[in-house]
Amino acid sequence: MDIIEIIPDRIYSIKYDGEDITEYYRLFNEEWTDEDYLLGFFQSHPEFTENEFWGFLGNDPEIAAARVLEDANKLEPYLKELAENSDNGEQPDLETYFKPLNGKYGYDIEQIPVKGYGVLESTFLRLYAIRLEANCYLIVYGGIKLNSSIQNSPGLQENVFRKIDKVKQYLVDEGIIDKDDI
Amino acid sequence: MAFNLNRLNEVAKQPSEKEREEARFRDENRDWLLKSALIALEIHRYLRLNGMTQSQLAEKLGISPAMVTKLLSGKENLSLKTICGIERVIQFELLKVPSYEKGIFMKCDLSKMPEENLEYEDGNQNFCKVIKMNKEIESKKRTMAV
Repeated sequence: MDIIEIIPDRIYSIKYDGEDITEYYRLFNEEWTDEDYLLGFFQSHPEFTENEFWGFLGNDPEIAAARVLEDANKLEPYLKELAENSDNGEQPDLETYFKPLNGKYGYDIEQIPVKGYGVLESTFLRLYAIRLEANCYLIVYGGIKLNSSIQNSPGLQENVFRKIDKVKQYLVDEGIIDKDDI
Repeated sequence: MAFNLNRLNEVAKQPSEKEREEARFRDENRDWLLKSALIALEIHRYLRLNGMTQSQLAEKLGISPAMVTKLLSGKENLSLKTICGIERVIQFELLKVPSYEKGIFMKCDLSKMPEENLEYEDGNQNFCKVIKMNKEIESKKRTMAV
């Protein structure tokens, strides 16, 4: 496992063992901005429009894919803007973007797992990170959330918690965070 | 100390050359890349709803199947000629010129239009034609009024 700098002192990304690319690159280059990937994804999960959450898209994989494309193309520059604001002490900064990830991490105080959304009002995008300190985040995972709960979103449920735990242990092993703080 | 930023920066590596290049490319070309991908999705949708194959589309457009594959990749910097060709086939406008759509060109106040615009013969040719046409209409109106 490696930590890769995306924006110095602000945003880092994990590159998992056995992977050639970082999570950041996977999301912003290989998946969320790749029309072919997105179309394939929504075609292979036609059930997404059958739930209350995304029914308004009318069972149209192209429209769902277009929505993700637009969202991701707004999100990446927005993250850069938030990082710049964090450097300059201006608002909104990265602290306003990421929200605590509840569930099993609800009682964590330091290095809390967080989630970020796309910028569109109804968004499929989820970015999962660990807050290392104020305005400094390590992206560990992300994906397309097809349902109102993570438990019903293929690919997300089984991966998020497992990856967060693995990365936290790596941070301790590398002396980036103190063991006592976990 | 709970978190050690110096240690993080010691451990952290730089992105690969490929990731850096791709990130730069995305940043510099984001607008047209998004439009290209949205057009590709619109074509995919048209094919699906009309039960048309990519080969049939290639035939209608008069281009090779390989070129259609490129169009549908959503990463092609499409020319206006190609976009207009697609529009003819799918009978749906992909690009719009808002001022033209609203008829603003036709409603412009010719008395305030710099004369040099009318003599401009290259990229603004169509615009000049509209202005010239308007001028002729205005001239006819004035004649009728007299």
